[in-house]
Amino acid sequence: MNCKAAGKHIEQYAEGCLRAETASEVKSHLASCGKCASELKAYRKLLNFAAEIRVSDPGKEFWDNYLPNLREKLSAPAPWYNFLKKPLTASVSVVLLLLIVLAPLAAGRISRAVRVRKASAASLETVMGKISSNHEWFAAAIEEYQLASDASNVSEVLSSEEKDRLVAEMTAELMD
Amino acid sequence: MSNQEVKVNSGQEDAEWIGLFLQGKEEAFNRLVLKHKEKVYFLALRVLGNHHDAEEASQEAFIKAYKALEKLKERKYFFTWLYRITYNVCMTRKKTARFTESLDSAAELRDNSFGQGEESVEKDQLKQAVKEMMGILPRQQRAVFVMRIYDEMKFEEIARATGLTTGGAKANFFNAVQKIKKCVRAKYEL
Repeated sequence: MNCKAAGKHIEQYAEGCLRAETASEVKSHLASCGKCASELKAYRKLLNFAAEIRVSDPGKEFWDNYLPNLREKLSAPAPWYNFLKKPLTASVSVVLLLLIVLAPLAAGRISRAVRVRKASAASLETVMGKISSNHEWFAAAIEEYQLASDASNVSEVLSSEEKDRLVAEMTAELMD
Repeated sequence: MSNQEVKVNSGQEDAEWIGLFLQGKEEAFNRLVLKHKEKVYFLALRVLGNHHDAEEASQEAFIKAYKALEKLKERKYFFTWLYRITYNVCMTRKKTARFTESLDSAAELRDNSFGQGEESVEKDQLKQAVKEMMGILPRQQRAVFVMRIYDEMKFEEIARATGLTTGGAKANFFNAVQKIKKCVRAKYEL
């Protein structure tokens, strides 16, 4: 094993992570290579420094109050929104919320559509009625006109009062 | 008594207390807290880097454990389970304060090295460099590094406590080591 290959394995060798065969090759190389042996030494030195680093202890008062503080938190009532932290209940809540918000909107749209349809049907009926009655009126008028045409002169068939009435009635019907 | 035997005995004690707690004896949970509070707090402190977040995270971990204790099947592995909860809390927690641990201790190290020899000062500077680099490692790498160096956990144990594979735990550890080494070597001779 050369230095390059050994260099890749030194840390794993130090941590005991290599297979026996590779570990043995690294060990042999380290015994004969001062440079790689000093690499191993540097690695161990670094970890020793790290292990010696102490964090500051929060002190006796903190530790004395640790359990009482925890007990206080445990006995405090859970906040009302706590159920949202559980994925299942959160999903169900979102669906319910959407239903609560969207259902009236959807219902409103449906009832408005029904109202519009009913209104449309009613006005269609009125229009049809008018058309139907107008149809009779127009049919009568057309018949009269045809009679007049047959006579080749309307003025000969209708008096001036009848012509005025007919025009007035037609105007009124058209304006309605 | 070997390290392994201590762990097994400790696990059996935990299992007994959990049994009592589930029978309605609240006091048994207090015993679990008093026994493990320091390890839980210091893991959180080393990972999150400040006292306030560490206190909150460690208490949150105990509260989660309290609520889910009846679901724990292997009671003798309570501590590994609790450590995993703590790790998860630390990974998901939003930091409310900066990573101050290294700064506090920088002052502490300066005070301690006052009046000491040049070698000791250099050693403290090196320690400080390692500590600062630990502070900027990604949280997962830092957590794995902390478990390996300070809790002397095996990679298999780290994997159980973090949910990583054993290979993943090793990769995180060696990546952390590489970064620290590179940073320290840029300033000092190892």
